[in-house]
Amino acid sequence: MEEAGFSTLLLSPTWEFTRAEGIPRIAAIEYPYGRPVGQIGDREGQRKVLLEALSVFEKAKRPGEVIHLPFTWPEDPKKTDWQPPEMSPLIKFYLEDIKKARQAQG
Amino acid sequence: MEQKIVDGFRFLPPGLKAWVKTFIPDEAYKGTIPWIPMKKPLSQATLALVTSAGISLKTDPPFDMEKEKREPLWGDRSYRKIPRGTTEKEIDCNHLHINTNHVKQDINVILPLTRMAEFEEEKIIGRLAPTAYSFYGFQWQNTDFLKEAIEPISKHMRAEEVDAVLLTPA
Repeated sequence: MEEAGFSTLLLSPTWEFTRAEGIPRIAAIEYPYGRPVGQIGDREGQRKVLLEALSVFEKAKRPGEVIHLPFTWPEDPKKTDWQPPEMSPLIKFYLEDIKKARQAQG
Repeated sequence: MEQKIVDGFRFLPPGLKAWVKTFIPDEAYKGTIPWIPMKKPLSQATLALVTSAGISLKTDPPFDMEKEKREPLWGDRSYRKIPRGTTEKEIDCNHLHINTNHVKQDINVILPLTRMAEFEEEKIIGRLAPTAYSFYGFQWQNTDFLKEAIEPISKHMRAEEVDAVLLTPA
Protein backbone atom coordinates (compact mmCIF):
# COMPACT_ATOMS: atom_id res chain seq x y z
CA MET A 1 0.00 0.00 0.00
CA GLU A 2 2.97 2.25 0.70
CA GLU A 3 4.21 1.28 -2.78
CA ALA A 4 0.90 2.55 -4.15
CA GLY A 5 1.80 6.02 -2.83
CA PHE A 6 0.26 6.26 0.65
CA SER A 7 1.98 6.81 3.99
CA THR A 8 0.90 3.82 6.05
CA LEU A 9 0.94 3.01 9.74
CA LEU A 10 0.16 -0.32 11.37
CA LEU A 11 -1.28 -0.32 14.90
CA SER A 12 0.04 -3.76 15.74
CA PRO A 13 -0.57 -6.04 18.72
CA THR A 14 2.13 -8.35 17.30
CA TRP A 15 5.03 -6.13 16.28
CA GLU A 16 7.48 -9.04 16.43
CA PHE A 17 5.60 -10.76 13.57
CA THR A 18 4.78 -7.67 11.59
CA ARG A 19 8.27 -6.19 11.54
CA ALA A 20 9.45 -9.42 9.91
CA GLU A 21 7.28 -8.54 6.91
CA GLY A 22 8.90 -5.16 6.17
CA ILE A 23 6.17 -2.79 7.35
CA PRO A 24 7.07 0.93 6.96
CA ARG A 25 5.75 2.27 10.31
CA ILE A 26 4.57 0.28 13.32
CA ALA A 27 2.91 1.54 16.47
CA ALA A 28 3.27 -1.47 18.78
CA ILE A 29 0.52 -1.96 21.35
CA GLU A 30 0.25 -4.56 24.12
CA TYR A 31 -3.47 -5.13 23.77
CA PRO A 32 -5.29 -8.41 23.07
CA TYR A 33 -5.78 -9.49 19.45
CA GLY A 34 -8.95 -8.10 17.92
CA ARG A 35 -9.04 -4.94 20.09
CA PRO A 36 -5.91 -2.91 19.22
CA VAL A 37 -7.70 0.41 19.84
CA GLY A 38 -9.02 -0.45 23.30
CA GLN A 39 -11.91 -1.68 25.35
CA ILE A 40 -15.56 -1.74 24.31
CA GLY A 41 -17.26 1.60 24.93
CA ASP A 42 -14.10 3.21 26.38
CA ARG A 43 -14.15 6.40 24.33
CA GLU A 44 -11.43 8.16 26.33
CA GLY A 45 -9.09 5.15 26.32
CA GLN A 46 -9.58 4.62 22.58
CA ARG A 47 -8.86 8.30 21.92
CA LYS A 48 -5.60 8.17 23.90
CA VAL A 49 -4.38 5.12 21.99
CA LEU A 50 -5.30 6.63 18.62
CA LEU A 51 -3.67 9.98 19.38
CA GLU A 52 -0.43 8.24 20.36
CA ALA A 53 -0.64 5.97 17.34
CA LEU A 54 -1.31 8.82 14.89
CA SER A 55 1.69 10.73 16.28
CA VAL A 56 3.85 7.93 14.83
CA PHE A 57 3.05 9.24 11.31
CA GLU A 58 5.09 12.30 12.20
CA LYS A 59 7.58 10.69 14.63
CA ALA A 60 8.75 7.80 12.43
CA LYS A 61 11.68 8.94 10.33
CA ARG A 62 12.98 5.77 8.72
CA PRO A 63 11.41 2.71 7.03
CA GLY A 64 10.70 -0.15 9.42
CA GLU A 65 10.61 2.01 12.53
CA VAL A 66 8.74 0.49 15.48
CA ILE A 67 7.44 2.85 18.17
CA HIS A 68 6.15 1.21 21.36
CA LEU A 69 3.01 2.73 22.83
CA PRO A 70 2.99 3.05 26.62
CA PHE A 71 -0.41 1.48 27.36
CA THR A 72 -1.16 -1.56 29.54
CA TRP A 73 -4.33 -3.63 29.18
CA PRO A 74 -6.15 -3.66 32.53
CA GLU A 75 -7.11 -7.38 32.59
CA ASP A 76 -5.01 -10.49 33.13
CA PRO A 77 -4.20 -12.03 29.69
CA LYS A 78 -6.18 -15.18 30.57
CA LYS A 79 -9.29 -13.12 31.22
CA THR A 80 -9.26 -11.14 27.98
CA ASP A 81 -11.44 -13.64 26.09
CA TRP A 82 -9.80 -12.80 22.75
CA GLN A 83 -9.71 -16.35 21.41
CA PRO A 84 -12.38 -17.67 19.06
CA PRO A 85 -15.03 -19.96 20.58
CA GLU A 86 -13.69 -22.82 18.47
CA MET A 87 -10.01 -23.60 17.76
CA SER A 88 -9.07 -22.10 14.37
CA PRO A 89 -8.60 -24.49 11.41
CA LEU A 90 -4.92 -23.49 11.19
CA ILE A 91 -4.24 -24.34 14.83
CA LYS A 92 -6.04 -27.66 14.46
CA PHE A 93 -3.95 -28.35 11.35
CA TYR A 94 -0.67 -27.62 13.16
CA LEU A 95 -1.65 -28.89 16.61
CA GLU A 96 1.06 -31.58 16.72
CA ASP A 97 3.76 -29.04 15.75
CA ILE A 98 2.47 -26.67 18.42
CA LYS A 99 2.62 -29.41 21.08
CA LYS A 100 6.17 -30.28 19.98
CA ALA A 101 7.27 -26.64 20.15
CA ARG A 102 5.83 -26.41 23.66
CA GLN A 103 7.64 -29.57 24.78
CA ALA A 104 10.91 -28.48 23.16
CA GLN A 105 10.77 -25.32 25.19
CA GLY A 106 10.37 -27.34 28.39
CA MET B 1 9.83 7.25 32.84
CA GLU B 2 11.27 4.11 31.36
CA GLN B 3 10.18 3.38 27.80
CA LYS B 4 7.79 0.43 27.60
CA ILE B 5 8.79 -2.38 25.26
CA VAL B 6 5.65 -4.11 24.06
CA ASP B 7 5.43 -7.88 24.50
CA GLY B 8 3.43 -9.01 21.47
CA PHE B 9 3.31 -12.56 22.84
CA ARG B 10 1.74 -11.61 26.18
CA PHE B 11 -1.76 -12.76 25.25
CA LEU B 12 -0.74 -16.02 23.54
CA PRO B 13 -1.02 -19.35 25.38
CA PRO B 14 2.46 -20.90 25.98
CA GLY B 15 2.18 -23.56 23.25
CA LEU B 16 1.23 -21.06 20.57
CA LYS B 17 3.94 -18.68 21.72
CA ALA B 18 6.61 -21.39 21.48
CA TRP B 19 5.34 -22.44 18.05
CA VAL B 20 5.19 -18.93 16.61
CA LYS B 21 8.72 -18.26 17.85
CA THR B 22 9.97 -21.18 15.76
CA PHE B 23 9.29 -19.23 12.55
CA ILE B 24 9.50 -15.55 13.48
CA PRO B 25 13.02 -14.14 13.07
CA ASP B 26 14.27 -12.32 16.16
CA GLU B 27 15.64 -9.40 14.17
CA ALA B 28 14.53 -6.51 12.00
CA TYR B 29 13.54 -7.01 8.35
CA LYS B 30 16.56 -7.14 6.05
CA GLY B 31 15.02 -6.21 2.70
CA THR B 32 14.05 -2.84 1.28
CA ILE B 33 10.99 -1.35 2.94
CA PRO B 34 8.84 1.02 0.85
CA TRP B 35 8.58 4.53 2.26
CA ILE B 36 6.35 7.46 1.38
CA PRO B 37 7.14 10.42 3.66
CA MET B 38 4.13 12.31 5.02
CA LYS B 39 3.47 15.05 2.49
CA LYS B 40 1.51 17.27 4.85
CA PRO B 41 0.80 17.54 8.56
CA LEU B 42 -1.80 15.11 9.87
CA SER B 43 -4.11 18.04 10.61
CA GLN B 44 -4.33 18.63 6.84
CA ALA B 45 -4.15 15.05 5.62
CA THR B 46 -6.93 12.73 4.46
CA LEU B 47 -6.81 9.51 6.47
CA ALA B 48 -8.30 6.17 5.48
CA LEU B 49 -8.84 3.21 7.79
CA VAL B 50 -8.13 -0.39 6.82
CA THR B 51 -8.68 -3.44 9.01
CA SER B 52 -8.15 -7.15 8.57
CA ALA B 53 -10.92 -7.99 11.05
CA GLY B 54 -13.30 -9.57 8.52
CA ILE B 55 -15.94 -6.87 8.94
CA SER B 56 -18.68 -6.72 6.29
CA LEU B 57 -21.88 -4.72 6.01
CA LYS B 58 -24.97 -6.78 6.75
CA THR B 59 -26.10 -5.85 3.23
CA ASP B 60 -22.96 -7.43 1.69
CA PRO B 61 -21.96 -11.11 1.54
CA PRO B 62 -19.98 -12.18 4.63
CA PHE B 63 -16.40 -13.43 4.36
CA ASP B 64 -16.17 -17.14 3.54
CA MET B 65 -15.44 -19.14 6.70
CA GLU B 66 -16.75 -22.47 5.47
CA LYS B 67 -14.07 -22.98 2.83
CA GLU B 68 -11.37 -22.18 5.39
CA LYS B 69 -12.80 -24.83 7.72
CA ARG B 70 -12.36 -27.33 4.88
CA GLU B 71 -8.98 -25.94 3.75
CA PRO B 72 -7.10 -24.67 6.84
CA LEU B 73 -4.35 -22.93 4.85
CA TRP B 74 -6.82 -20.96 2.74
CA GLY B 75 -8.15 -17.50 3.67
CA ASP B 76 -10.81 -15.43 1.88
CA ARG B 77 -8.96 -12.92 -0.33
CA SER B 78 -11.85 -10.55 -1.02
CA TYR B 79 -12.42 -7.17 0.63
CA ARG B 80 -15.39 -5.00 1.62
CA LYS B 81 -15.91 -1.25 1.54
CA ILE B 82 -17.22 0.17 4.81
CA PRO B 83 -18.60 3.74 4.51
CA ARG B 84 -17.64 6.24 7.22
CA GLY B 85 -20.38 6.56 9.79
CA THR B 86 -21.01 2.81 9.84
CA THR B 87 -21.84 1.53 13.33
CA GLU B 88 -21.67 -1.90 14.95
CA LYS B 89 -25.41 -2.31 14.35
CA GLU B 90 -24.82 -2.40 10.59
CA ILE B 91 -21.98 -4.90 10.45
CA ASP B 92 -21.22 -8.55 10.57
CA CYS B 93 -17.77 -9.77 11.62
CA ASN B 94 -16.36 -13.15 10.68
CA HIS B 95 -12.94 -14.32 11.75
CA LEU B 96 -11.88 -17.80 12.84
CA HIS B 97 -8.78 -16.62 14.71
CA ILE B 98 -10.29 -14.13 17.19
CA ASN B 99 -13.42 -13.68 19.26
CA THR B 100 -15.52 -11.37 17.06
CA ASN B 101 -18.05 -10.49 19.79
CA HIS B 102 -16.04 -7.48 20.92
CA VAL B 103 -16.11 -5.88 17.44
CA LYS B 104 -19.83 -6.58 17.12
CA GLN B 105 -20.41 -4.65 20.35
CA ASP B 106 -18.18 -1.67 19.47
CA ILE B 107 -16.75 -1.31 15.97
CA ASN B 108 -14.23 1.23 17.31
CA VAL B 109 -12.16 -1.40 19.11
CA ILE B 110 -10.66 -2.26 15.72
CA LEU B 111 -12.17 0.07 13.08
CA PRO B 112 -12.35 3.42 14.89
CA LEU B 113 -14.71 5.27 12.54
CA THR B 114 -16.50 7.19 15.31
CA ARG B 115 -13.24 8.24 17.00
CA MET B 116 -11.77 9.44 13.67
CA ALA B 117 -14.91 11.44 12.88
CA GLU B 118 -14.37 13.16 16.26
CA PHE B 119 -10.72 13.83 15.36
CA GLU B 120 -11.83 15.34 12.05
CA GLU B 121 -14.30 17.59 13.88
CA GLU B 122 -11.51 18.62 16.29
CA LYS B 123 -9.08 19.22 13.38
CA ILE B 124 -6.62 16.62 14.68
CA ILE B 125 -6.79 15.05 11.22
CA GLY B 126 -7.63 16.96 8.05
CA ARG B 127 -10.35 14.61 6.86
CA LEU B 128 -11.55 11.06 7.34
CA ALA B 129 -11.91 9.42 3.91
CA PRO B 130 -15.49 8.56 2.87
CA THR B 131 -14.60 4.86 2.66
CA ALA B 132 -12.84 2.42 4.98
CA TYR B 133 -11.87 -1.11 3.95
CA SER B 134 -11.96 -4.49 5.57
CA PHE B 135 -10.37 -7.66 4.40
CA TYR B 136 -9.86 -10.99 6.06
CA GLY B 137 -6.66 -11.13 8.07
CA PHE B 138 -5.69 -14.68 7.55
CA GLN B 139 -3.64 -14.71 4.33
CA TRP B 140 -1.32 -17.66 4.68
CA GLN B 141 -1.08 -18.10 0.91
CA ASN B 142 -1.30 -14.51 -0.20
CA THR B 143 0.25 -14.36 -3.66
CA ASP B 144 -2.98 -13.23 -5.35
CA PHE B 145 -4.17 -11.09 -2.47
CA LEU B 146 -2.20 -8.01 -3.54
CA LYS B 147 -3.74 -8.05 -6.99
CA GLU B 148 -7.26 -8.99 -5.93
CA ALA B 149 -7.64 -6.68 -2.93
CA ILE B 150 -4.83 -4.18 -2.40
CA GLU B 151 -4.74 -2.90 -6.00
CA PRO B 152 -8.46 -2.03 -6.20
CA ILE B 153 -8.42 -0.60 -2.67
CA SER B 154 -5.46 1.64 -3.59
CA LYS B 155 -7.24 2.82 -6.74
CA HIS B 156 -10.33 3.76 -4.75
CA MET B 157 -8.19 5.55 -2.17
CA ARG B 158 -6.52 7.62 -4.87
CA ALA B 159 -9.96 8.64 -6.15
CA GLU B 160 -10.81 9.79 -2.61
CA GLU B 161 -7.48 11.69 -2.37
CA VAL B 162 -6.19 9.71 0.59
CA ASP B 163 -2.77 10.71 1.96
CA ALA B 164 -2.31 8.37 4.91
CA VAL B 165 -3.64 4.98 5.93
CA LEU B 166 -4.06 3.53 9.44
CA LEU B 167 -4.13 -0.26 9.39
CA THR B 168 -5.52 -2.24 12.30
CA PRO B 169 -4.85 -5.98 12.10
CA ALA B 170 -7.02 -8.45 13.98
